[in-house]
Amino acid sequence: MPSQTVPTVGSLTSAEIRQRLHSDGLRVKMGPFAICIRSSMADIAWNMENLYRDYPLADDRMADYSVLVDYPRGLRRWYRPQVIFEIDGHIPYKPYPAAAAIAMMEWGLNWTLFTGANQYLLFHAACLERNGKCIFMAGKPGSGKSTLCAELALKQNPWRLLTDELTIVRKETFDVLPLCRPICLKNAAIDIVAQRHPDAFIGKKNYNTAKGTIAHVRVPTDSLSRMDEPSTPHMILLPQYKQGAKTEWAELPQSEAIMLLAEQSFNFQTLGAAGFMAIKHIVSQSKMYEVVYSDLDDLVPQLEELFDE
Amino acid sequence: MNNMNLVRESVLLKYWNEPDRVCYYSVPEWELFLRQARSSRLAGQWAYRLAQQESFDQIPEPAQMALDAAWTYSEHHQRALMWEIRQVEKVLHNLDCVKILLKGASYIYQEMEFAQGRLVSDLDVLVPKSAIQEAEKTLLDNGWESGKYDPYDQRYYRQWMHEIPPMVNLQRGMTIDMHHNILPETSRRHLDATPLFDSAVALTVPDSIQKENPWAPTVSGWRSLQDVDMVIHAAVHAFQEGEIDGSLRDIIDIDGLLRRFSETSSDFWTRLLDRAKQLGQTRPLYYASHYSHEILDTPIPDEMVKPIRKMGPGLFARSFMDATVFRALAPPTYELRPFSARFSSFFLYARSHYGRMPLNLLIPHLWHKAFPKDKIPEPDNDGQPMG
Repeated sequence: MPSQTVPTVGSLTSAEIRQRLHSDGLRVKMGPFAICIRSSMADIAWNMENLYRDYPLADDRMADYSVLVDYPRGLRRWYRPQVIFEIDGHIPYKPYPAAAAIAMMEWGLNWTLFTGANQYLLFHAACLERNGKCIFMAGKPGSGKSTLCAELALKQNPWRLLTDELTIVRKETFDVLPLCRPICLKNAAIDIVAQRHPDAFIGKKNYNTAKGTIAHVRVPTDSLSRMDEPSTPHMILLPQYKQGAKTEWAELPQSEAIMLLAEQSFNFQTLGAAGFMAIKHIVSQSKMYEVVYSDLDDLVPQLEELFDE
Repeated sequence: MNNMNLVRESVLLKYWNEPDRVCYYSVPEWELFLRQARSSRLAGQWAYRLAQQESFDQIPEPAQMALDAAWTYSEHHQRALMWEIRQVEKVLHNLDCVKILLKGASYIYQEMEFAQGRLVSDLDVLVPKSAIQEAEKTLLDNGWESGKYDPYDQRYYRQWMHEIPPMVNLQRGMTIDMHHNILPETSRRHLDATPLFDSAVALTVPDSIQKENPWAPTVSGWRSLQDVDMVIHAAVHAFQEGEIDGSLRDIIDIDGLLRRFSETSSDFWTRLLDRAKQLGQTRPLYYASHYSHEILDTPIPDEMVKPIRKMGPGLFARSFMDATVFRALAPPTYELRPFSARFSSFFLYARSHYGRMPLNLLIPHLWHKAFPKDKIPEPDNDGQPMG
């Protein structure tokens, strides 16, 4: 069957993108969701045109969410301009300086999904696929999870990026649905990734946010083109970056892995029994490790060997 | 479109009584419908209504998913509330007084159909004023803490309000509001709560709990307000005490109660009007039945239409209230909330405050709220953005 080419955001001109954002909204497919975004801000138009260049347009289906990322009404549009994120008549975060518009859009979309998408089991974890199976990477902020995620997705012979932050599991089939949003890097990680992968496209830096400086990496085209392909959980990893440390692995007992996933889930309690069954299933079919590391070149080959074993 | 139709003809409500027709909405209608349902916190109740429809399959898949998500969330919410109700019942077991569940907690505990999928933010309980100190102490000894730290707030509740400061369960994070009346002490419509306690009805333990523990007693330690008092309380809450802003849910409760009780009791409406007169709450009852009928077509018996209209305000106040209430209740479109809606909400907020306290108390109160002295900060619940 000849593959149908789906029109992407990149198939629109800059003017068309701006025009859509300004009027009824630019409809973009992100994993299983269609999101309708409205904005009059130049940074958001730039972001959609560049970071979201290869995302399919979702003009042919109903949008799951309609969001607004824009200047607030009144003075703060002009005087020290701010940005707000609005969803369903609700503004979840306090306004930010307009220079952080892109970060605000990403946070807002995360908020929208992790508070609302209770048709799925949701984890605060990165997820990548290799040879048809995927790895969950959970970790506290500062554990180096996003850097490792970017490394795996951008290296030679890359892993397929499913998600960098919000992992979506179907509660009926226990498989992972890709979300494929841009990878969010913080502070020093931005330069590390830029140095290691000069070809990677990194978006505008948003300075002075609650999380320091933030920038987003464009998702590799191959991952995006396979946005509708689910994957099977195979490994759970708790990485911990520690300066100067030698790579050290330790197995994670099942009991701890269950607790870890429950803790890292946004809606484990909300889903009740279905959530518990899904976590149990994931843990029972996964290898589980924690690893302390400082050198990505040392860590990655070891990880791949363990994963493939 | 006139103001009434902003609410009545909204995609959210126009087929509230014929849910089947929602299944045939176009894609743009569905998008707006879900936006309005989520913003009014009515998505769970809609999910329940739509799941009963034969044409459920006609609904676009993303909307089915959204309804599934809303239903899952509301189920969790009700499960947690039911658990909280049982824990409070145990803790207050030895407190020798009438303990009444109010509002959402009561509808859900009584498994009323209109409240399927309803969200409830707090657990509201009513006990006699003579028992409230003991009740508070018992809760404080058993894992609850007062949610208000500011000494001014403490005094505000204890001296003037009909409830003590909300208490939060430290483990579960759920808030309980302990009331001793349904209106503030300072309210112009303040009433003696004794008749409410005298006519409260005993409750049986809900089926869902009995199924889990067949050995547990079937008589609950909780009571409910009697039917007419439930309606009056809902009316007072919506039109005298609370903020009308975003309280479409209150109208839906009032409609649900009125429909339910008209069916279960033949002299319900006569008793309702008599009771409202007895308790001095005819005006809130007028507003409740008026708006519920205008927005959701709640049936009102012909012979009651005139007596109810008599309980209303004069023509001028009536048209002013109509203009503001409908505007404040209008579900959101894609624009940020228009000025007229925000103004209407503010007006209704000010009005309910004016009803709550005489001006000589209200002005210093609002002054304090605007310019607090030595404010002790409340814990910030505003989550940090992720990522």
